Amino acid sequence: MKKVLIELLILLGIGGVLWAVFAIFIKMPERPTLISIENEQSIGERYANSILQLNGFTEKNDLYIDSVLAVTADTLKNIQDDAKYDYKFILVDNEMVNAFALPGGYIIITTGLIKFCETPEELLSVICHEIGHIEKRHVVSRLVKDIGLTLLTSNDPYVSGEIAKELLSQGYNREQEEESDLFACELLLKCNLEPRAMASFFRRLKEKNENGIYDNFEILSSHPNMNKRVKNVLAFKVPDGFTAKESWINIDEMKKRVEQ
Amino acid sequence: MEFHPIPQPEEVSEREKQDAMGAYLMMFATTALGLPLPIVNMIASVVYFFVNKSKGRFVQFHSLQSMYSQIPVSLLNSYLIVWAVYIFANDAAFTNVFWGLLITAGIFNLFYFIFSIIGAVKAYHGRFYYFLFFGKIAYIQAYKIKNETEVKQQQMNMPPKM
Repeated sequence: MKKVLIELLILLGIGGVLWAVFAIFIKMPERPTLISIENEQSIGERYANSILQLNGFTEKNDLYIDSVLAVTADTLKNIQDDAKYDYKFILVDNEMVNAFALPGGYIIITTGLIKFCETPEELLSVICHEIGHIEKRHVVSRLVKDIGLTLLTSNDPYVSGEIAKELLSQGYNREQEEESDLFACELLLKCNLEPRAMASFFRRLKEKNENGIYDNFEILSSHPNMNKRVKNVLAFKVPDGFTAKESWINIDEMKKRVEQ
Repeated sequence: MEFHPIPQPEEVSEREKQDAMGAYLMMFATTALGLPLPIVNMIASVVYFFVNKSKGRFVQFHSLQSMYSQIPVSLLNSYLIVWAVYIFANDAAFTNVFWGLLITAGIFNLFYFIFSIIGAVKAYHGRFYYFLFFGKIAYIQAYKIKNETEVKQQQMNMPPKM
């Protein structure tokens, strides 16, 4: 009988050790999706144009802003050790304070957002938050869940049009928003920028919202529990002796350009 | 603890060998059916054991070994399926703890598969094959002499006293 017990313990031990070893050492995606990154990029490319057309957005092209956003895309990609996407910014001429991520690394930002941001760090915190949704694959997993893989990869123009409209009305869950907030803070810190800039952005956006000017901002609209998120951002730990550097963005110049 | 003597390969009938082998092979047949709910495999092996229980201790041993070794694997698979469904339904993250258990379960399934094939081949040849832990449990249950009546029944026919 003793041998039976020993063998049982051996089996349980092997199981426990294997579980612990794999849980600690194996790196697996938290949100595996059925779409490869290459496929996701082609979906994003296809929908980016449809979204602009179907939602009446006009793309705003300004050489200065475009170059700043290109530098931003490269800097934020290169600073990460394991960035999976190339970020492509699309600036649209719209007064809404808004930014949203599309599949495949596309980020749409409005001129209203640039006007609203008081510091470059605020703008970067929003951009980093959207990058968080992209890198953590929230965007594509949400679409696969809500729309389905077959419809998402469909070439039917009517279906694509409906999905393009749907893309803007989708929200993320609280956990995904908080994960992206944390991602944004960490990314800003890596860039030696003030990671808690997002808190002031949230606060002012909330005040704007309370004043009745509600822009359906994705970051804000999907989650009423804004106070908790502000608290989380403010509680983000920065290393001792951390001194924030100045960012590469001249927000005043950008504002001037979007006003033109 | 006393045990009934175990038969040698030539003492096991062809029918017993086939039924004993069936205990392992039946698991493969029900796998396709039980994939969405691995618990189906377990129910099938329990049914197989009770149907073949009366066909001798050799068949009993292999049926029990197949059934017992299937319990943890099926429970593990079922648990993982429920966990995965929960994650999908709540849009939660597949944590490393989940992946760790999934890979461990995969390894256990693979071993279970390999040992079941070995068990089936051995059973077909009238041989015994003991899985770690489950082999001993199955042997005890199939071959242990359970009470004194059984001992007496065993010794009813005695050689003549000289």
